Amino acid sequence: MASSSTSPCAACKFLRRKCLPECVFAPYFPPDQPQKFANVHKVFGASNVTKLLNELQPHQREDAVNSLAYEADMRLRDPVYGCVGVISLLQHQLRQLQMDLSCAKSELSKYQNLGLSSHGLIAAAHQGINILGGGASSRDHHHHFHHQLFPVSQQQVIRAFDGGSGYDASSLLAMNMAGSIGQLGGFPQSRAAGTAADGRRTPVEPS
Amino acid sequence: MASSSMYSNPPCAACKFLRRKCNSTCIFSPYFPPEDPNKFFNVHKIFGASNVNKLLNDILPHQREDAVSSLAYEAEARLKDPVYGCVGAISVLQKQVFMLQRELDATNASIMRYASSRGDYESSYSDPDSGVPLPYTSSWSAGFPGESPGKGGDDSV
Repeated sequence: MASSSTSPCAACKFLRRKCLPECVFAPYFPPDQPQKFANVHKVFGASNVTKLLNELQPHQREDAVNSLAYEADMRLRDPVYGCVGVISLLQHQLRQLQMDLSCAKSELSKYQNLGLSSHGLIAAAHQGINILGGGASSRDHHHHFHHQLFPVSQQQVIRAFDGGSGYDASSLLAMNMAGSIGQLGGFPQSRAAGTAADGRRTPVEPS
Repeated sequence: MASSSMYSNPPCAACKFLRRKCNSTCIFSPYFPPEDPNKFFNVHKIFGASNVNKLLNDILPHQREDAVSSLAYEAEARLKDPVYGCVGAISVLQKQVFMLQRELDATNASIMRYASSRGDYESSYSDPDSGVPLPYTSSWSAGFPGESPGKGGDDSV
């Protein structure tokens, strides 16, 4: 007597149907994660997820399901903004970091400038260089320090990150939910959402 | 005899798509104007009208416009990138934040080295012209708000 020892996947268990061998959900909704399918079903619906998975290559489906699960989770935690709240928050973080980094680099360069004047004098004194005479060797020494003062600037890189403003990211709920973004560490990079529209409460335009 | 159709509003994009009567209590009509049929088409394709209906009913009326806008954004992102949707953008932004935070930490460390070697950390800190206290810490940790910042930054969010 053949016995079906395989337990139904979380989707078929939720939908109370027989889990067939060719079930499109089974590889991605294991029975020990019932909440994953419950969330996806609540936000997207089983039918829409089936259509979406059927339009993808098999090797893409796992990432698609995981991103859908993440979106569904975010939407259930923040029914108003969902993932868009997280995007807005991250963009705000980026802008803040850019400003802080710019200030820090500016302050660092002040220290380095001060270091040039003091180190140059001290180094010159160690080498017995007549700093008052301004010989060629002292000028070379200053030149050497001058090159050291200005590492390759990354301002262009930072400016490229500027995504403008999006949704108002002041929602405490959205900020708390950002903590779960750590689960996304395994996602390969995709193209970023396009630059956001200016002004508040306007959605970030997807690229 | 005046026709009733003279005084009725055109159906919203949702009711037009669903081929149903758009009455004054239609929950979609304020957010899916007939001039923008694609907006509802995309949202319906990804989320389904029924799910959107339930979601809108679960939130307050003044929140619904933002909710519909975010749903429309997510739907459009998912149609453009069926594998990752808007989650791809989150992943990229996360990495950018991490890299910038690391660079900021390195720059702060350099500032601290200079300041401590010069012995003027206190004077710099209290320098009214400096504008920003040292070291420079974003209010965001290398992780996310809610985690304790590594360098004594502002915990408030």
